[in-house]
Amino acid sequence: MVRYSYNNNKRGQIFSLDLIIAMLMFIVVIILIFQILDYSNNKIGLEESANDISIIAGNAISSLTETEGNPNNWSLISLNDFNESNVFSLGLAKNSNFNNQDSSVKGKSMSSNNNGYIVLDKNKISRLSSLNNTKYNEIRNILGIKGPGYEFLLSVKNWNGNSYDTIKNIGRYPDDNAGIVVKKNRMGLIENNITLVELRVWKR
Amino acid sequence: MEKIGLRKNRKGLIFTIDAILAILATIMILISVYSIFSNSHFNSENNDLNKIALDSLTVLEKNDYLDQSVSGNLTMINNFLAALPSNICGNISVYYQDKGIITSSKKPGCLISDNVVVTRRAFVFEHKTYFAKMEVSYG
Repeated sequence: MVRYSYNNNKRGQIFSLDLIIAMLMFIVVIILIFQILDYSNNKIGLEESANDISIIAGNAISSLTETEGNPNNWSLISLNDFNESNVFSLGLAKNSNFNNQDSSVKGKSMSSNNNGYIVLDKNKISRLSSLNNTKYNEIRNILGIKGPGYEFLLSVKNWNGNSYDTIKNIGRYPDDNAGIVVKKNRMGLIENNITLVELRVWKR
Repeated sequence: MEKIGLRKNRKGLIFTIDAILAILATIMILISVYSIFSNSHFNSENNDLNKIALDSLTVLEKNDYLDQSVSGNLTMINNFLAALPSNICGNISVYYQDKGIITSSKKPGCLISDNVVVTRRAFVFEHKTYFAKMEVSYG
C-alpha cells in the first residue's frame, strides 16, 4: 500500500511525440474522409441528374421521331385546346393510314413505305414550332421533360449534300445557367430528304 | 559472441495478425477511394448508337438506297454516310444470302473504334433477299 501511494505521487509524461504524430494523422484522415464524402455526394448527384436527363431525352426523341402522337391529329387541335388533357403524347411521324395507301405500296412492309416510323411530317413540325412561343411549357410537359429546371431545344435539320440546313429550332437554347446538357440524335426523312433530329435537354 | 550468433540464426515472425488486418484495411480503403473517383456512370452510348444504326438502315431502305447499292450505285449510300452526325463513324455492307459481301462503303476520314454497334436488316430487291449490315461507333 505504501509503495502504491508512492507511485501515485510520481508525475508521468502525458504528451509524447508518438501521440502528437498519431493525433495529426487522425485529424488528416478525418479531414480526408469528409472531403471524399463531400466529393462523392456531389458526383453522385451530378451523375443521377445526367442519367435522369439522358433517359428523359431518349424517351422524348423516340416519341417524336417514331410515333405520330396521341391523338395522331394533334397538330389540328386549336391553340386553346392544346394542353395535357387533350394531347397525350407528341409525335412528328407521318400518320400511317393503311386504307389511304396506294395499292402499289400495300403489298410492301411498313418499313418500306413513306409513312410512320422516322418519316416526319413537315406540317407537324411547323405546327409544333408555331406553338412554341405560347405553349412551350405544355409541349415540355407532354414530352415528359418534367424534372426541376429541365428545359429542351429541338432542332430539325435537312441534309443538302454537304451540310445540314436547320429547318426549325423549337424550345429554348441552353443559357449560361445550364449545368447539364444532354444531346440525343436521330436520323429520319422529310419528303425523302435525309433529316437529322437533335434534342438537347438541359437543366438550369 | 556466441549469444549474438545464436540470435542471428533464429527466424522471427514477420507477419502478425495486426499487420494482416492493417493490410486488409488499407486495401479496402484504396478500393473504396478508387471506386469513388473512377467513372462508373450509366452508359447509354451503345443504346444511342443502336438507334442511329437502325434509323440509318430504315432511311436507306425507304429511299431505295439499298436497292441502288445492289445495282452497283453507291453514290447515295456514300452521301448518307457523309450525313451521319460528325462524331459518329459508320460502315455499310450489303450481302446476298451466303455469297458474301456485294458492296461495302464507309464514312470517309473516319475509323470504326473497338466499341462498335452492329445492326442488320433484310430487304428484297427483284425477288431476291439481301442483307444490309451497319456498323457504327463514336469516332
